[in-house]
Amino acid sequence: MQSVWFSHDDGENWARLLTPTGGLYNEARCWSVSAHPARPGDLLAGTDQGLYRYVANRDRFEYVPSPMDELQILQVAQHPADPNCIVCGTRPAEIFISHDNGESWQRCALNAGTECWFINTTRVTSIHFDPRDADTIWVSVEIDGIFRTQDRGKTWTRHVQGLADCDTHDLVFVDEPESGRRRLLCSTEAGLHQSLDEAESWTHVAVSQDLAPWPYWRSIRQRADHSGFVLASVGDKPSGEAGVLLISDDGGQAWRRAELSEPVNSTIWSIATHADDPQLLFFVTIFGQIYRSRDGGETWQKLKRELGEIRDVCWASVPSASSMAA
Amino acid sequence: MTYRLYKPHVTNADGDVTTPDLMVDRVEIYVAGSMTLMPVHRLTPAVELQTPAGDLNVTPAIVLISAGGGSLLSVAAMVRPCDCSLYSADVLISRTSWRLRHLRDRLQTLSMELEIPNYRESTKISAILDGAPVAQEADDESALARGVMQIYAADALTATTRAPAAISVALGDPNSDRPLSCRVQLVPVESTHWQERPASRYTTGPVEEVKHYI
Repeated sequence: MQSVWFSHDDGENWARLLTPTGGLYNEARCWSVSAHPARPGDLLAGTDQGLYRYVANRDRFEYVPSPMDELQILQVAQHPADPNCIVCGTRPAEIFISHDNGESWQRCALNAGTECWFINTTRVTSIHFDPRDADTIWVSVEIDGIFRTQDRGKTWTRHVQGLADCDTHDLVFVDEPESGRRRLLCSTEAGLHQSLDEAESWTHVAVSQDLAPWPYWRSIRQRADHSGFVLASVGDKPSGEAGVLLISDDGGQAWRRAELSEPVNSTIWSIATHADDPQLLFFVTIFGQIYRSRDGGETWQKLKRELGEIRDVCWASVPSASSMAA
Repeated sequence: MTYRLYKPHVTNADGDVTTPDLMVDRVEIYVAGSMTLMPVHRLTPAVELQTPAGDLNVTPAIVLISAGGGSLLSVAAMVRPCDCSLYSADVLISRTSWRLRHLRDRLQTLSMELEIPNYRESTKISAILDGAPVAQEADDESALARGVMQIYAADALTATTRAPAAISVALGDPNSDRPLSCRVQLVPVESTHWQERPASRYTTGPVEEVKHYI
């Protein structure tokens, strides 16, 4: 949350950019980072100061003017096939899309709730580009459920039928190319849900309390090799003291505990995987711990350095080295 | 005391960018050497401006801002209905700025350009800054008192347009390729991104006892 930290040695050492000239207030609250394979070394960061772009060859952040300056940019995502297509999700829950690398923006008619009893203001918790359709984007909103556009943001539909709770956090798409079947997994404050009908309906997935002692499911991610290996974080509460990492070999049907070198200190908030090396993964806890796996997510080593509150992590290969941002 | 927080990205001569947050509580508008104070709330760094129907006057301006490391120089677009005074304009100010002292010896080479639909005009900024405390700007101190922003309006370049329109005020420096511009989209006040404006919805969240809390 204190700006963006970088590591160039697989998480062993971390640093922020040079304080005077990094281009971004080094105690800015940063909620999200996005890297794209077509722009190696570059990074987008969603903050409370606006949207920023880290440019590797200048080693600093550059401000990207946008209508989101007065909002908290909680999620940033770039279209897998088009890095110029940038989708940002904010608090209050709104979606802004640029199709020209941030030169211009459109505010979508998302129509999320404008007020919430529990958290007072809704917020976007994840943005996903549908792996099967280039114009379909999925958004999870806390606390208002799952939204989908099938026309790149022009129109949106809300999909909450069967959700025990609209406090939705993340989505995974488990697609079977041979059969065409799809299972959507959605993590919520009230456990894991799945849909077999493109989110027309959801059903709660029972996972034994031995594996998932609490109902608070947060980050779920499919490993970047799309083998059906799925990871999921479950914690005692958003700002709590405990958590576990569950892994599944079969797209979320059966789960088991990942082996951690030591217990986490809070909910695992973000999991990073990249196609350049699916065996290399990272996760971060909300209260500053960083873990690394070199075996595809089976076993995890806690790294020595701890940061402050961490909301997102990503990693990417850059020319001459791999680089991480948290 | 009322203020506006101006958060520029200052591109220095060596290419570094710094990000001071500056509280502005006095805004002086200069037109042809004559100064008028303007309420600070008219300043905005927004990239979109909702405007009333009808013709709008757009005046580009050079902006000087007091800063501890030396005054900053930026650009702004002053937008108001044609039947309104310049002093009631909304002032859209760029969040990019340069350090004045790096430029004071060659201000004559800098030009400012206003571009709106079907119109593009430029002028040397040295004429606009006539009377500005540029010469008084020392190497280590701003010539402007704390909290002061001075807006030098290039009234002669005022152009008329209507929303929707994209407007751009840009500063050109022949010695450098670093950009400094203020680009704004004028949006008609009646326009909307809703096909049909929906009701405002209330969401509740957990309806049972919550054993944990956010």
